[in-house]
Amino acid sequence: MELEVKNLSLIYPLRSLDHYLFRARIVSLFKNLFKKKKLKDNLNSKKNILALNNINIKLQSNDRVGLIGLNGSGKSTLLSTLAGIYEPSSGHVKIDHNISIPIIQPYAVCEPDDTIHNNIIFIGLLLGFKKEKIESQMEEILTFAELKDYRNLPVATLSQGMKFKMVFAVCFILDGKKIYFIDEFFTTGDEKFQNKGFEYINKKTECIIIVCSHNRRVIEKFCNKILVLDKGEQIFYGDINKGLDIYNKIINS
Amino acid sequence: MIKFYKEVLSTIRNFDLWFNIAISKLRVRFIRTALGPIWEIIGTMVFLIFISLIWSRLWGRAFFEYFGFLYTGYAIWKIMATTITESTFLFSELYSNALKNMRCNPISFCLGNSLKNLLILFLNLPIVIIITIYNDTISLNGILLMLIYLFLFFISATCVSFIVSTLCLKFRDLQYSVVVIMQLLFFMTPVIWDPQQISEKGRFFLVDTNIFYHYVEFFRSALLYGGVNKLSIIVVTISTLILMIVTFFLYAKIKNKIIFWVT
Repeated sequence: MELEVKNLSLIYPLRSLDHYLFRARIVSLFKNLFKKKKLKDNLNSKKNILALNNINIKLQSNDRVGLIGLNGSGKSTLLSTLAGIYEPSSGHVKIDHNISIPIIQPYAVCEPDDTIHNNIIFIGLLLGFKKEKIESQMEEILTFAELKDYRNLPVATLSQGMKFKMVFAVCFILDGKKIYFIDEFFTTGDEKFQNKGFEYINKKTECIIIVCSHNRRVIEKFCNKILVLDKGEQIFYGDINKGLDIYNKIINS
Repeated sequence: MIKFYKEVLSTIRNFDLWFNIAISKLRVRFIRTALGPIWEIIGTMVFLIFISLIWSRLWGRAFFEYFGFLYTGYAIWKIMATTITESTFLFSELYSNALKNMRCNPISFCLGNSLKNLLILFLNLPIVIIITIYNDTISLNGILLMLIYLFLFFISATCVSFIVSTLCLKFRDLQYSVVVIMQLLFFMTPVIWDPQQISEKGRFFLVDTNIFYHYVEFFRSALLYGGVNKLSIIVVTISTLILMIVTFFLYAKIKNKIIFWVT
């Protein structure tokens, strides 16, 4: 099992909200009645940004990569692209999506009025698991998430931390996935559960895990490689200590 | 093209997901109510009994005969209109988070949306069948035609749901115009009035060329009269085929762009 990324680039279309406004278009039209060139420029407010530029990495089983970079450096975009949510504009991602799982904002898809039990099934299905598998591991999920006695409560009654526990259990307890893309996931939840979670993930073998985080503790404790991004460019890929030094330089520059 | 065909096929095969999407929305809709989905029947029944009481007298028709005509027409119209209007915000609001954060095919949500509405139609079916038994119009032929219709309707509804959802995602003004158009079409389509009540010229424009009429008529005639006119069968079948082709090509063309329109 491996994950190989070659010359990956992603062009992300950005469109100013003004572009949609009929009123803004009319005002712009009158303002620039005699300045044809400017008018054209104003109306053509659609811009494309190079969100990811020439990313090259190769991961093997048991690799745990920490993605680090300033806000807007392209960490989450890279994660989404690797997970198959965005199609690369150029380059190639060699991955088996049947065994990969994007853990980007899983609680965003929860149906707050529905029960914990039903939400576990729904999230599991959206993540690509079979219903029989989810049902067969339901008790294990609820026990790990410490929600066994609350299965029929609506998700709306859960705190953010408890939702984290529920989603964590769905993503990691269910067997069958080997490549995990985790975005800023360990920021919620109490430290006790975080440690329990780390311990559980560390036991997983023959997996590839890519974690995107601003938290150095998470990367140092959990990863064996680091990928430093800046403005969509791959700055460094390799040893953690060296990568964190480079990241420090970016912060201080 | 083969890649897209395989994607669509594997989405259809993932029945558990879209069945769950449908059931989950249906469950949440009636959550914390004592009567649950029975409210769907009560709401429609009360509304249509009152309408039938007034309009059957206005048009000099027997109450039960008109009530049967209205109930079957309204039941299917409501499902058609709900499917289309809900599709206007399916990708932009209802499932935008799932599209942004999960690797799931947008067609799953269209299948789920259509199935949810079809299940609501099934809630009304017992009443429709009671009416046909009371009016002594029930027949095996009619039930078979209805089953064929429901199959074609489900495909059409899913395709329309995908087309409307993507267009409304890209062109947000359509969200509002579709709702207005559906309200107008309710009065233009023979749902509460009989096509026999208007002139030949009016019939051509409002009935024969109105695709929505043929979808209503197929369902209504199958149940009420045990047979459907050939034109409605042809229109519904051809429309379903055209919608499937359009949906497939639209999917192949814009599938990778949907995520950028959502964010």
